[in-house]
Formats: sequence, structure tokens, C-alpha cells
Amino acid sequence: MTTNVIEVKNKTGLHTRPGNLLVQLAKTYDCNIMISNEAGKEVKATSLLKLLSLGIKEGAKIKITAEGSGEKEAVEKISELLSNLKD
Amino acid sequence: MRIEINGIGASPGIAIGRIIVFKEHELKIPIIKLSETMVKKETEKLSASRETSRLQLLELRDRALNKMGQDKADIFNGHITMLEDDELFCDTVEIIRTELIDAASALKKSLINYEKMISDVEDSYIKERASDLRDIGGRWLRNIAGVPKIDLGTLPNGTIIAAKDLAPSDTAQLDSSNIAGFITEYGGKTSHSAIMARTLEIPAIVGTKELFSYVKDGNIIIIDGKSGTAIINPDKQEIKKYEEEILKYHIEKEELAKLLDVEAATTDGYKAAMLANIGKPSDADSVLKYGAEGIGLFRTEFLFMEDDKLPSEEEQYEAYKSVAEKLGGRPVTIRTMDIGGDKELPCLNLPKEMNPFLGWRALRICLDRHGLFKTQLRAILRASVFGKIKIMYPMVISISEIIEANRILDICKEELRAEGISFDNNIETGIMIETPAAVIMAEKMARYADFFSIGTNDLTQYILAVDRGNENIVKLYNPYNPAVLNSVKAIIDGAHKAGIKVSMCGELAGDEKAAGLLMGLGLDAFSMSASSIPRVKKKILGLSGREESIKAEKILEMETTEEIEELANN
Repeated sequence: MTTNVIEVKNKTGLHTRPGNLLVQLAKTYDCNIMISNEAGKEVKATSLLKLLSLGIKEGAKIKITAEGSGEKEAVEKISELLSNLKD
Repeated sequence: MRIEINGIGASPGIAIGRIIVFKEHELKIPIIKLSETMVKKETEKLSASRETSRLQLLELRDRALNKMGQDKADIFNGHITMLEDDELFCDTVEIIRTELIDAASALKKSLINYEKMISDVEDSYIKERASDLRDIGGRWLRNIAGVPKIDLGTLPNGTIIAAKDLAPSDTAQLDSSNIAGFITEYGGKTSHSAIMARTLEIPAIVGTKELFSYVKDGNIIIIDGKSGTAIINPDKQEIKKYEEEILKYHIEKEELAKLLDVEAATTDGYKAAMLANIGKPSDADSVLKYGAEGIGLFRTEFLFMEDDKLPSEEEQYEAYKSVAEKLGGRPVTIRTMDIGGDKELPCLNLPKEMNPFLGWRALRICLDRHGLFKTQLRAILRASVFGKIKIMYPMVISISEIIEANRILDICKEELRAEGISFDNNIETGIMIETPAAVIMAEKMARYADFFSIGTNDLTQYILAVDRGNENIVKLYNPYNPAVLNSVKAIIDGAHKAGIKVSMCGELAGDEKAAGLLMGLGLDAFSMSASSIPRVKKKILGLSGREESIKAEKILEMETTEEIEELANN
């Protein structure tokens, strides 16, 4: 299992557009990827609706957890994506 | 059964086609209990209808990409991702399996859960995504039930839409390539649906009372957008007769096209510029083919009508830049935000007003919300290096407003200079004359403006105290009323005294019957839906400027609208 915590820096947080990008990226991996917010709520990274329900705003810290084949790369690429959001 | 009905001809041309009634259906979803053996079939139904929905959204996305750009297309990408949400699907299948109810009922329950999950989020932007989910969910449910949402953008060829009314967001999806015309119950000649029909150049009839008592999906209908007559279930001879009319119309159009590069001038050399009104950047694509010498009115409200966020400076800059470039150096007059009144916006929480037409709107909002105003002005200034842009302030009632607006414009110029961003330092600023205050103060105001543009639609409304959308008093709304014409004269005289020019961008400018009078009053430029330019130009070319001036003087002495219309139109 691989884990990482990153801070979401863009103004609008994890809303539809970046959420969509995250879902598309997560779907390319075989491993099981979960995202959780500071309150500890954890959801699958492949569901945009569930990601939106985490209510991740600017400055929020989120935990990325992956388990299975390719887990290290998955966490790395997703961390990169989420740390560099511009919208 | 053949029925003939009458409304107001809103956009000229004849169309023959099949009716599709545009009306939101109330979707009823009764819970149907299943046996275990039916679960698989219901799950397949859920899956198949999801696929149908996905294809519909793809089509909407591609149309949006074509007509409105990547930005708007991305909204649909987000929608598709929501539709394809694995968890939503799995949870719904689980409900079908465990509660043994039909796909639509299960989906309805699921959607309620997910909608609540999203609207419970504190963040206001995410909270609002619940309405996206409702929209997509509605589409999915309709597809299961077999009652498809009518995508105004994906209709069969030769469709004529019959609706109670068409909002600007509905008509924004229409295209002359997919619909032949439309007919509505509400509306008058200057209501939004009418203006959009003329911009799109599709025949339309509005204000057809009791339309819905007669129309049915699939009926053949002939609509004559000039006379306002529609025939439902016409007989074969009528169809033939109207088909011939359509042919004649196309021939006339070709003839007018020949006048393209001819300047609009009377036989004795009184000249007038022919300009176009546009409501969004893609409208500019077709103005040059009608001989437009520039854009007399670029309405910017479209930027504020789509999203729940205010348009960014970048977004606005791209829109203004694209139009400036398309017009290749011909003047483009951008009107700053003119919202309030009859338009509804999610991005600006406008308070409900008793009198929106006399309310907090347009320039008033801009002078209160400097952030909003500066964003727009900065975008316009930055775009001004790509062509010849002019700025126009709407709904002006005092010189103080002009001074304040220009002061804020100067601040924007200073900021851009400091940031090293270039702009047209000599950019012209003018005003719309559409309020009684502006009419009375026209001569003095002319010293503070580089040009005037007369907005006859609102001007007539305010001077005659008549609501232009109200069918009960539509007869009173008449720009030929002596009060209005004398106002136009005062505006033009006041402007000319100060050495500035006057254009007219209201619907009167596009009415060729008024061209003679307007030339006689000394109007310098006519701005209208581009497709009207050839007709107005042809009219002007056949006039004697001197005779029209004399006629105009007579008209200004007249006391009744009826006398005026008789003399003006004969």
C-alpha cells in the first residue's frame, strides 16, 4: 500500500474540472485508489460524484492511498496532478 | 384538419416543415415491483439508457465546441463523467437487486441520495453541481421512460418548433441547419425570440395566441414569417404555392447580394453607414457577407448568461479579440454589460425588483461594482490592439455617469500601462441614448461622448411608458409616435452641434420602411441584424435625400401617429 498527503492549492478546490481529470487518471490504473479528506471520509478515486462530496476546498489536505499493481506510480502521478491544479 | 392561425411576423421568410412541440413534460415514475428473474433485464435497461444519454451529451458537447468554444464544451465533458460514475451505477443496480424495483425508480432513489450528498457540501461551487446531476439524471430517467428531452440542437431536418416561448438560452442552441423555423404563443416583434430569429435568419412567428390548442407533433405547418400567418395541415396546392414563394425569396436574396459592395447613399449623395448588431462572437462570422461595414452594437450579455460565475477577464478578452479580428479593422462597438430587467442570471444575484426596467441594471451595476466593470473594460482595452474597437455605455441618464465611467476607464488604462500591456490609447467612447434624460440632455452630453447610438427599443418604451413585451398594449408601442420621432431629431441635432455622429441600433434601423424618414432626420449610421442590411441599403439607394429631409420636416410637425405612419410609409 502506498500513501501520500498533498495540499490542494487552486482557488476552486476539487471541483468538476480537476475532479474529472483525477477520475480519468485513476481509471488508467489497475490498483484500487482511494482519496480521503481531512475529516477522514474516504471514497474511490474513480467516482467524480463521490470526490465532489468530499468538499475539498483551496488549502485542504487530502490523502491519496493506492493498493495493487502500479500503486507507487499511481500515487505519484495523482499527487503531481493535484498539486499542480491551475483552475 | 386544415387550420389557419395568425400571429406577429417576427422574422421574414417562409418555411414548410413538421412541428415538434417544445414543452417540458412532467415525468411520472411509478414504482414497479419486480421478480428476481427481471433484475437482469432492468439492469440492462439501466445500462442501455445510460449509453443513449452519453451519446446525446457527446452531441451537445460537439455542438458547443463548434459554436461556443472549448470552455463550454468542457462543461459537457464533466457531465459525461458524472453520468458514467461507477459508484452511481453500482449503487443503483444494488437497489434494483435488493429492493426489487424497476430501473427508473431505483435510479430516482439513487439520484436523490447523490444529490443530497453533493448539496450537503459546504463549498458553494460544489453544492451547485447538484443541479448538473439533476439535469443529467433527468435525461437518463427520460431515456429509460422513453420520453426523450428535446435537444433543440439535435432535431431532424425540416423541423418547425412550436413553443409557448423560447428563452435566450433555448434559441442559443438553434441553428438554421437544423430547424426550418419556429412559432410561439408569447412574444412580440422586439422580444428576444424574435430578435434571435432574425439574427439566425430563420422564419418565425410570435404572439400566436392559443397556438397550443392547435399544434400537435408531426403536423405539417407552413409559416410565413413576414405576414405572421401559419397554416397547419395545408393542402397540396397550398404547399406548392408556398414552395414557389420560397423560391422567389431566394432569388430576391441573390439580387440583394449583388449590392454587397455598393455604399448606401441616396441618389443625391446623402450617405449612411450600414452596420450590424451581434449578440455573440459567432454572429460576426456572417456579417460581412451582408455588406456590414462594421458592428454598431456588440451585445456583451451572453458572457453573463451562461455560467454561475462572472466571466473572467481572459474569457472576455478572447471574445472581444475574436470579433475585432474577424472584422479586419472595421469598427466594432462593444456595449458594456446591459443586464437586469428581463434577463435572468445565475452569476449575479440580482435582487427581485418590482420594476426591473427602472431598476438596478446596466451601467448602474457597473458603477457600483467596480471590480466587474474594470474586468470588462480591461478586457476590451486589451483586445483593442487587434482591430478598431469602440466602447459604448448603456442606459445613461446623466453626465456624471459618463464622467465616472470614463474615470474608471482611465484607471484601467493606467493599470495596463504599468503592467506593460498595450491597448488603443485613442479608443473612442460613446453612449447609448435610450432614456428620456439622455434625450433632454443630448446636446450637453454630446460634449462628453465620441458618438451616440440610439436604442429605439428601450427609448420608445421609456418615452411612451409602454412595456414592449406586453401583448395587451402592443399597439401603443410605436416608434412612429411623434414623441419618439421628435426625440430622435433632438438627439441627432444635439450630436451634430457637437460635431459627433449618431447611429441607431434599435429595431427601427432594420425596418426598411423607416429608412427614408431616418435619412431625412440626418441619421449617420444604421445598425441592425446583418441580414436586413441589403434590404435597407436597397431602399436608401432609391431615395432622394433632399426629398426625405422635406418629408421629415413635415412629419415632425404632425400631431398623430396615424398621420405620420401614412406619410412615412407611402
